[in-house]
Amino acid sequence: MQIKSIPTRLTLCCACIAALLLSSASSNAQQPNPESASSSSARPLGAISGRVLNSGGEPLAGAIVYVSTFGTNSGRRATVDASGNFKVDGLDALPYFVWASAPGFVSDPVITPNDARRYYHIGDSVNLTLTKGGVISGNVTSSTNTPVVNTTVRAFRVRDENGQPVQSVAQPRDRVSDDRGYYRIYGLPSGSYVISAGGAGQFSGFMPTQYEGDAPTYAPSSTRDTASEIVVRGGEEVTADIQYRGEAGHSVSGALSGVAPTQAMMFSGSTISLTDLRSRATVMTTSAGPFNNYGFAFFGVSDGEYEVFAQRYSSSGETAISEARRIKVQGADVTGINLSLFSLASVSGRLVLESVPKAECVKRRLVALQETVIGARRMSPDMTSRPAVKGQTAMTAVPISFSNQTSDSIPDAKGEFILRNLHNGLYRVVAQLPETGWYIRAITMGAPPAVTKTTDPNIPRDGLTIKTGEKVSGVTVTITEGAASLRGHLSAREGQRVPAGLRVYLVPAERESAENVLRFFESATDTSAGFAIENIAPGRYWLIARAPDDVDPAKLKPIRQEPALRTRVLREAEALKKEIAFKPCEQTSDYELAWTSTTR
Amino acid sequence: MSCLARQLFRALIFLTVVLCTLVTVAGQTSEPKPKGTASISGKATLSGKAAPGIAIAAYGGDMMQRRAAAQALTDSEGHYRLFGLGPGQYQVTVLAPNLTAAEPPTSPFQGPMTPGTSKTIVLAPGETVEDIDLKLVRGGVITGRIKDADGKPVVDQRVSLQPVDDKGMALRVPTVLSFISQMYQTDDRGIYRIYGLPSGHYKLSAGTDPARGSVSLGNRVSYPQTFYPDATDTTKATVIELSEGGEATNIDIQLGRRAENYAATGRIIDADSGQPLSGIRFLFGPAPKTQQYFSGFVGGLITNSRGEFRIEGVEPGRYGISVSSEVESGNYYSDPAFFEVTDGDVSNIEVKAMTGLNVSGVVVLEGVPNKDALAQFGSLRITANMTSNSKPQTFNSASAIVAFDGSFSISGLRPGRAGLYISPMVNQTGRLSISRIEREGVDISHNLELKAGQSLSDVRVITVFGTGTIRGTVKFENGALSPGTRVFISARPEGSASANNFGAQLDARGHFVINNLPAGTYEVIVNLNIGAGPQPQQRRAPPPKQFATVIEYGEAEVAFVIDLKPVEGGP
Repeated sequence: MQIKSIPTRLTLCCACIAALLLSSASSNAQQPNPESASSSSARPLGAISGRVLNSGGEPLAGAIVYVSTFGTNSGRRATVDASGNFKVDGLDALPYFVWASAPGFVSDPVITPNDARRYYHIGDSVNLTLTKGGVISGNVTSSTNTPVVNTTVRAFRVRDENGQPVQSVAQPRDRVSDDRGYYRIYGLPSGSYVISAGGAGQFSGFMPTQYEGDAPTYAPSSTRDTASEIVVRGGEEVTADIQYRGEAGHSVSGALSGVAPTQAMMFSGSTISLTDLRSRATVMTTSAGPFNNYGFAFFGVSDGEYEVFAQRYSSSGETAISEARRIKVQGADVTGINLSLFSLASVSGRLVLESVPKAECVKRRLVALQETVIGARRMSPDMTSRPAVKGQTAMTAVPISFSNQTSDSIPDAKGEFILRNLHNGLYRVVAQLPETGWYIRAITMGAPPAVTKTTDPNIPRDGLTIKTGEKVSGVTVTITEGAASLRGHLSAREGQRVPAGLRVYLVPAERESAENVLRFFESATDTSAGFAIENIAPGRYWLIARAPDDVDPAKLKPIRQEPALRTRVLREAEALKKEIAFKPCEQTSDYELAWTSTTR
Repeated sequence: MSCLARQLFRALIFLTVVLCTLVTVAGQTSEPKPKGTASISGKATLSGKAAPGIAIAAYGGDMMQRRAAAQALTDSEGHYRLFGLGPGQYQVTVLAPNLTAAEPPTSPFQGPMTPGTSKTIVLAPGETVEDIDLKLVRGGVITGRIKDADGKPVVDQRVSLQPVDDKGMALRVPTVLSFISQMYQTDDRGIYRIYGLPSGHYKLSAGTDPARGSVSLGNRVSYPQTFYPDATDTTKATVIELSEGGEATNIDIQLGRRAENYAATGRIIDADSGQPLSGIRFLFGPAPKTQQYFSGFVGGLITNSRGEFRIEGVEPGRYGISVSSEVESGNYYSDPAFFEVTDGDVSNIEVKAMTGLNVSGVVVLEGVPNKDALAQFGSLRITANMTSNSKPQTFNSASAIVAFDGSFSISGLRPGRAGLYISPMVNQTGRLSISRIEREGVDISHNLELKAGQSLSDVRVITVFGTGTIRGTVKFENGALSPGTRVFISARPEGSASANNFGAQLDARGHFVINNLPAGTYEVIVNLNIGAGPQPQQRRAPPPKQFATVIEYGEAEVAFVIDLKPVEGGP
């Protein structure tokens, strides 16, 4: 009887977990139900279309394109046809993110220093490129040279394609060896990898293996400290054999507190993650809930430093999380970790549209409110717990995977927005505008001021400090019609070449705007030294091109976030005296900016 | 962020499958259990010869405890010994998926690893069990490549393997194959490799069966089902013959053109008011005409603010969609709406949701407070199964967790007769079971009925706590049980017509243990269920019975000797 009941339970459980996953996927991209207050049934519908090519420029037929927006199961998918085209129609006028996926292929990494998750609107055409992923394969053998069958083999990406250490936390790729000890991990983005065999997999214990309790052996036959880094370039296949050591691993265990049992938790409790601090990889996750008396345990953990934290999604979109606990595994089990869940913070406010009747550069005024994306970007990647100050809410330790947290949302029909599930820290508030005719005039607490005074809290400059679980309200983002745009390219003197990877900055020339962070703009230069800046507030500016301060594009900080960079660029630009002024709606194109290597 | 969303999306199916299994099997707590002193030992042989270096593990009492209670490697003589085991029921299994059982298993329900090798062993405290021998042979391999119509490898494609008889007909007793899902999926070269297979005949296919319908998720391209080598009809499939430890190579499948898939859209409305319902989670899934019900799957979708839903990637087939409170604490239920996808999008599907009824109250413990019993609140599930008097075919079930203070509230129920059950979500000492149900001082155990529009509150569910054990052995004399016979032992409280029956199966040695019995006297009965197969029904004496009395936390023992000699006058 018991056995027969399993399929139903599994089904339900699957449904439930899929549900939670989806809601988790959208929980960072949360929404106050875009359509909910929409009275206008005349809102236009539209399509997003485009092409998906491989890195050789050939159509990638059969690839799947996902088009999704904020809100409940908003995802749409389309299959790419034989000519590489796709089209998704019947879309509401909202911001969308668009990505493509095909088995064995990877998306080109997009690294930008600004606010740049790219959103698309209806009517846009999107070109996407997928690159064939690299392959790492090899044989896992025992010390007696027999195949190690059905052991978990994992690839941890430790460096990017430029050789820079990977900063973001990712899950390793996971495969098992076959009856010959052969493993094959494919679809890998370019970069450097360390490979481990043995130990528990990502979801330890779901399919028991003989090697589950072992500490992983790293290729070629070592511990993590002396693991070989294996370099994979686009589409190449690299061999990495592993001689398995079979050393005993340790366990890390504890319990969850601060949870009242709910029906939803019957199948899906809280997720506990174990993150290897050295590889910056979530090596294992498990779950705790009423079904296991709120206890959790990881097995097959090798010596090293880890972070453990719990989080729980709810169908309402609210996430509860525990403090991140740092632990060190050194030749013994770690027990008794108590993780207590609490609710995350939120920021709510309003988006205000300022109409300028004479400005005629805005075409879709009707839908502008809900085509704007409001976001929060965590600025302080402090990972350690700050001591509690008496009488104040303590700042809890934030898991490293959230140290650069971003949270985006779109306003409802009244312009009200809420950014949920924020960890404590210092945040920048950003907005991605619906079209080129808009610029951000002010981000303030309370009503938008007619004129920004220096005594007001300066959110664009100073950011917002959010304490654990705090509910911040009253943030007003004001966007105004009449934005200008600038397109141009850098030119070099005779006999010189414009170097690649320069950055072009547009900084305020008006003294009174020097502290107005929203008057600072930037653009990367493309391969033909072109640049483009949009959503510019009308006014006078200095223009300057300069080499970035950091060669690693992943470490570049936006000028709106870095006071020191602003001061420096402003000083250099003032000295260069390349002034440019914009009238409302002015579109400047073909602008030629002379590049001289002495600019710095 | 979009990256996170993308990763999550990509991982969705995988995670779903994996986590489900995890959640279902994760029956463990982090508390270290006291180590026992019982042990199990035996010898593993491979093709009749001692098999050294084979990993053997014992998995704990409840069905699939996710971590081995003990694990050992066989020595140079093939001997193994699993020790440090507490009392309880274990599955002794081989952790070598490239091997398989030398003899076909008697039951399709097997341990988590090497199919067919599991043996159930009931251990008494400190018991030393010997000679649990495991006979193995090398498993066979089927491998090949899946190509599309253009001859290009198809990546991440699932293949399915169906054991058949030598004429290609489905087997009556299904062969158990490995659960390692990766071996049924092609890699970036389009190659799959299934190993650890028992010798026999197989049919291999890739793609989805159009008669069943399917919803394509993730980035996998779907194809119409094709059998090795290129048949779309199962009867035309070439049967693959696999010898013991053999390898069938180049079992390649050429797939047809990619299957088109479509979208299904509609609304969920309130059956009474006709208003669209937003934020409603629903179940949907294939609903072949041949079956009355549809098995809901792929959750995660909820209606938008206009009450609309949209299901993408639907391949041709018949589907059902319904609202069910079983998935989440929703307060609606519905009859399924069925729709058929042939060659285009399907729109205007309407699901009429009805407001479910609610049963709430408190679970209380009868008698003196017991620490072990109270510790179970908070991880105790209460389920209401509803059967309708007017529509006996409709059935609805919902459950809730009993809070630490005993309170519960089950919502989303259909009107009808309710059966309440409680079950622990964690294996703990002792078990609570319902002795009666009261409301306003009246015993309503046998007539708990929900009338349309009337929820029930203040229901008192009175429970008893069972901590006693009956342990026993069954010995068969004058013959052997026919293959496939399952022996089930039940214990019924004396003089009670209560549904509270307790039971256990017989282990590999003829031992059994029934746990969590409330104190009292029980009638212990040995039931013989002849397994599937064409053997003649034997006439036997009525099932043997014995009485046993258990006290709280106590143990009673019984021993049966069953004479298998046919009764006089039998055939």
